[in-house]
Amino acid sequence: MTPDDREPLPVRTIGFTRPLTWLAQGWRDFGRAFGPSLLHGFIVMLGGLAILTVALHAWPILPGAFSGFVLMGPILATGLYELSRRLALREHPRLAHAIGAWRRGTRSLVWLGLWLAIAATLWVALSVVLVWNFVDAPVASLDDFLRHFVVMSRWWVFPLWVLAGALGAAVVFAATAVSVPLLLDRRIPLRRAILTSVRAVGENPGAMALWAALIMAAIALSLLTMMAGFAFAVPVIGHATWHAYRDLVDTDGVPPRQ
Amino acid sequence: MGAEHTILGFTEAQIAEFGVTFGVGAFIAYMLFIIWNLARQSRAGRFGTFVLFFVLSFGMIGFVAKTIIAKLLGI
Repeated sequence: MTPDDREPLPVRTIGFTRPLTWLAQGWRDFGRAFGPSLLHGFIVMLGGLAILTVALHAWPILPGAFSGFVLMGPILATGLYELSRRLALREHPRLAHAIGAWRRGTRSLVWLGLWLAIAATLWVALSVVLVWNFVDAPVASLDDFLRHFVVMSRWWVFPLWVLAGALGAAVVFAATAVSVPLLLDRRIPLRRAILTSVRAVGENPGAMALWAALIMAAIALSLLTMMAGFAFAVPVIGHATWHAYRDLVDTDGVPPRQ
Repeated sequence: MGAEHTILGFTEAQIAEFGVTFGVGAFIAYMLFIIWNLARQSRAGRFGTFVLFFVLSFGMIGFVAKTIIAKLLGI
């Protein structure tokens, strides 16, 4: 490893409203690769429903399970980045390309996925301990859960959970904002990809906070529509992330992966 | 209640509460360390500003969600 390998790549500064353009570009790619993209959305939607079904029977895992599920998003969208990459190369995107990206699954992507899975599991465990200790009332339904954990528990329990979650989510968002498409596209060590992603976020705090807020809003809407929203939100945000990567990272001098 | 066991004058519930609070506190401190370390290594000038924006908006969404849920449940 040369000293250069530990340096983040150069990044570009973007305008505050640039994330809105990414959404428009993501929407356009979704239309162009409709079948394989929608399949990604459906898989996430079914995953969300499966978690909800399990969590309603073991309610203390509910808050952690959902937020942990969201942490895996950047890896789940791997196929979508590949579809956008093919579109940028003026190729016709096919499901086989998305599957190929998964199978190619470089060692770095596997490590990042593992790291996110560990973070998600720790978060589920921490949330369970918090709920277990501070909710005394019996909880048999979603209504009971919201009533006793979110609204009626000791005043500091919910804010503390939100603060801890916000810090963890900020780190995961910054580390994965553009690192997964970068790993898929270029030959680059994991550590350098993550530092590049953090740098891109740190050089554009306003725009990237707007991007994070748009993603959070899409997740909230998807949860409110009992996961149906994921079928559309996942493809659009996944494709948009590819365009974010192309806008933010200057990859000159880094060899392509293929 | 007189028969409740205590350890060094604390009940089991008090010790559990302290443990969880301490655990979450340690988690928050560790996250802050990671944020500081990432900002330093990535040479990202305003990473702290981003984290501040992020946490504030996250907190605001949490507060609004809590208010809406409380209204819906009629509390």
